[in-house]
Amino acid sequence: MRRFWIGVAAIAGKDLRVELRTRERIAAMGAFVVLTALLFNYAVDRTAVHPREIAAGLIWMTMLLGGLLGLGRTFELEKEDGAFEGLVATPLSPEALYLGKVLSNTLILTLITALTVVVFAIFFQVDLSGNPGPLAGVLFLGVTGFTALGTLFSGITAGTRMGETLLPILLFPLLVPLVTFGVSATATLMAGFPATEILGTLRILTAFTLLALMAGVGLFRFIVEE
Amino acid sequence: MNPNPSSPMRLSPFTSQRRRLPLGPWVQGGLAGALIVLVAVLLLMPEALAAQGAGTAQARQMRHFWHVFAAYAIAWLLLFGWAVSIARRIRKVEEKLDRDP
Amino acid sequence: MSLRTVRWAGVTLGALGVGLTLLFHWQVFFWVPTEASMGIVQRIFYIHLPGAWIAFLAFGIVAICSAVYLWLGDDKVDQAARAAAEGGLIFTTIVLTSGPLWGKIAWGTWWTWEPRLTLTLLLWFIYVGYFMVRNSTDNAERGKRFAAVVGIVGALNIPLIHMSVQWFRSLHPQPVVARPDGPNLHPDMLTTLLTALLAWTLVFFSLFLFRYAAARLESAEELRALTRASKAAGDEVPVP
Repeated sequence: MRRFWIGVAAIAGKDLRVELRTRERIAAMGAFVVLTALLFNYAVDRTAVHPREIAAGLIWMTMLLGGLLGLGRTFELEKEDGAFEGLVATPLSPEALYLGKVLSNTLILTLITALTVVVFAIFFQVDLSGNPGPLAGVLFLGVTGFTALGTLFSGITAGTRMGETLLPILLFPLLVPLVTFGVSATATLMAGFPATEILGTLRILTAFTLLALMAGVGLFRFIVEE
Repeated sequence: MNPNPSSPMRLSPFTSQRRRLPLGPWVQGGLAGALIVLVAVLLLMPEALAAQGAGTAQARQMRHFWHVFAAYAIAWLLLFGWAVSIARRIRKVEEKLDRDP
Repeated sequence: MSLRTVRWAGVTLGALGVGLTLLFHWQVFFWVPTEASMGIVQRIFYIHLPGAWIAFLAFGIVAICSAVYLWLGDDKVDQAARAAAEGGLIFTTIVLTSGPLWGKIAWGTWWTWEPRLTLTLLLWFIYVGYFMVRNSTDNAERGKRFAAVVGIVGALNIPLIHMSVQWFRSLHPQPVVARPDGPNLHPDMLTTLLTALLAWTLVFFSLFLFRYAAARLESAEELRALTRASKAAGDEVPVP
């Protein structure tokens, strides 16, 4: 069991180290979320609705679209030079490979989500002071569920001719629970309600995340096996 | 071509030469297109009638009727299309099997 | 199941299904009373609800067959999953076209975020994704495994998606809609509905069996062609 977690950490560490050195995905996703927030300013008619009032939904959509950009490239590096076959050939189990990838993706996307929230706070004067702790918890839970499902499907799309263009088609229909309950919880917290108001929503978000993780752990083996 | 009725692979009643549907892909596509245009026209017609002031109650009734018609027509078309596509698949394979048993 | 049995079952179910389909069309157009508040457009109901029922039934078959395929690796099970998915796509499309045609009259709009209609739209996209994954891999075995994963994850998610669309609607109350499927359905309407349900379920299973048989024939043919080709090349191949 200990060896398993060492494997998970090794994969996550490798990905994060690559990311730290190249900063390709973080730079692309970071620029994406800032520019999307900028465009939202012009997309929303400010005489009719202030972006602050729909900030929860905008933050989530920005996070998902930006995250998609990075998730689609989860296995991009491994596709080159037969690196993927090399990874599969190591004594590492596919489950550890999956969890390692989810871990590194989650950490990167958490960073991006934090950036998104800060950008919205600055651009649109979104007030975050009410419930910063629970808010961070809800967003982190959402990010974890998103990457758990996204990493699994990214493994699938990496093996198809269509590549990452296929990812949103597979992923978005299944993200409806995440968006519905995630946005609702975020909006409730931003409006200043106490965290006890969102316990029900939180339970469903947790169920979604656990289900996605379990599906990934159980099924990733069938994606990598030759 | 010599149909071989004793072939163990023979499966469907769709395959005998006599019963083959005489419809090429162009004809089928044309029929489907014509039906879609027809449905579209029928759906828009009641509004045109209403705009001319031809008895609004009657126009509404017509509109109800055409919606029911369109829903059933599309359902029939889809199911029939699926059946035809399956029949074609089977016929194609059985022709191959007949050609060189 | 041998192909003979499949054919026999397919023909029997198909004949029964087509017979019952004729019967329910007669019931719908000549026999059943017209619903009071919505008028004749309510008759779309008799294809709308059976379509939805079969769409979800088919997805259940896809999910179970996908799981069994990943477990046992038997190609036949995968062929069954694909046959069910094809049928599911057809019937979801029926639901998605008949729903708005009905809604335009009953609610005055082509689309509302009615939870079951929304769920069907998402199901349609899951089916589309299933086929896109299948058809865009260079390695057929891999495509089957990928599609099976998509089918299973989709099925696991359906209950949660259902909860969300229900819950989302409850937040945004819609004008009260006269529901034909309330508990006070006229007995004749219920009879018609049950006939239609049975008829289309039989039609679905008949076409499902034929589609499954077609897939098995195709793979048998492929195997023969391969064997022949390698024989022609002079290799020693065991006869399948």
